[in-house]
Amino acid sequence: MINKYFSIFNISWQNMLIYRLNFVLWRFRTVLQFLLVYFVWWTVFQTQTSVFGYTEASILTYVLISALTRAIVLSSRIMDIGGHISEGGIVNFLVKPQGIIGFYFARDLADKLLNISFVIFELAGIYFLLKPEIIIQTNINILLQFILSIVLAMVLYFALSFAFGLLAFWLENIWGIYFLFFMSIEALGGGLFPIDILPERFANMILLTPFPYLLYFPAKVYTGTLGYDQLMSGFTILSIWTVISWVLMKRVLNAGLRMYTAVGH
Amino acid sequence: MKKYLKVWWIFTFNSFQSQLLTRWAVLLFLISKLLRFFIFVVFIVLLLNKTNTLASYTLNQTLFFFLTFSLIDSLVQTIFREVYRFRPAIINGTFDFYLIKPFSPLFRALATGPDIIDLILLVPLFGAIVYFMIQLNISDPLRVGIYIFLIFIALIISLAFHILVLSLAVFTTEIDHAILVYRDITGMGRFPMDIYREPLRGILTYLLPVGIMMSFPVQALIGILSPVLILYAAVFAFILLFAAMKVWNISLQHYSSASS
Repeated sequence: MINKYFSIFNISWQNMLIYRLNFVLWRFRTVLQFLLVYFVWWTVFQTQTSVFGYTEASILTYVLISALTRAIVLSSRIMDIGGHISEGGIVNFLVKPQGIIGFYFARDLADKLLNISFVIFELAGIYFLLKPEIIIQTNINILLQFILSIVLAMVLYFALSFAFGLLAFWLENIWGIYFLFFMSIEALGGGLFPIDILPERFANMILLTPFPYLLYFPAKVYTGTLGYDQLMSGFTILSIWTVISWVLMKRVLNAGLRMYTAVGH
Repeated sequence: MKKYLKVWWIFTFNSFQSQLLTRWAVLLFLISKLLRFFIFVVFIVLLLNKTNTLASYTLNQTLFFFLTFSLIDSLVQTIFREVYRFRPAIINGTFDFYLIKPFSPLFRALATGPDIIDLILLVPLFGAIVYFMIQLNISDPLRVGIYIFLIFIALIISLAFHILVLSLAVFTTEIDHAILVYRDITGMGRFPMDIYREPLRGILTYLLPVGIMMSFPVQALIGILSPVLILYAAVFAFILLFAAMKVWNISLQHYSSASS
């Protein structure tokens, strides 16, 4: 059973290594996106010592850790599911002894592992080139909480993306929905700025949505600046969204497969 | 020229019709782009309300940098959207049909699929640009003229980059998002180049050249760009375009059809 999905993981890994230049350029793009955010904050702290309650060290740590979180949580090939449904490739899963969810999850893990191995070198390079003042977290409890938040965020992102992709069972064009989903993560996920710099009312509203739990929450957990109540409410909302998304994904998949009709060869 | 205008109009009409087949998808794309735009504006306003300046630019000036970036980006997206569909055309052999048509394959690959969403976004962007010009007390027609000229230069540079991306797709099918690399590089121009530390600032300004495209127009408008740099921008743009055309011609000589 495990062997089957390990083989999918292995094949996906090798498949990604075929187009090495493509992957390197993909990583180059993420470095460019990171540099924009990094230098905006770096510039701010050339004339200030504290902004929105953040010091230079805490905000640059946030920016670096959210970049790492992005590479782990958001690196995914799950959006292929829409194309597989509309082009008929989904039929393969109906005739082969493998689960659809397991197949995409194994592929995603390969993608994440490759991205993580690159992002570690990138961040190390950026650290040695720019020498930012950052917080190195040594508290084991906080590091464990950080890892837990990352794992939950990964599952949440997978389930949400998968559920959106499955809409291809009913819709001809799902790119509009995907684009809105990605832009919502960009806008409300905390990749550009920490959500808590927004006015409290707006920040609290955003914290009820799943988006800030993909980047903002894990990065804040790492910085160790969240109080006990914030930590507990954060993990509670993240867990609730993860369960809801997983259940939703399974239901949408079952409903889609029930009404799916394959035509062609 | 008249023939090209007619062909462009037919393709544009068809492209808009095709996009409007799924109106709700157009609406979702529009909402998404507005969301991205809005969140950047919110961030700039929040930040500058706390710090008063960013790299010595005021809130209105920083917003004007972002608006100018958005204007150029939307103009480029509107005009050159077809470039995003070029790699599949190479892979499945459709490019062969571009070559046998009685008009330039470069024109076909570049400008025959305008994006209606970015066209819609241009309207409020133009309004915002005019509003902020008034807020910044810009009334000198010479400065406004140079600003428009430098936006034209930015479009020339962008045209050259898009031609290079097309050429790359002919040379190799290995890269499937070269155009997005271009977008991420130019995306660094959302803020003034002064935020970047040297040597990155110099590379971004003069070599890549995000600064020439996105920052020079605003710097000229607020009167802090020397005439030498305006001349440099113009010369750079035309040399780059010339080089891109050469590369495109070489790439065509290397093209071997995939359709067979």
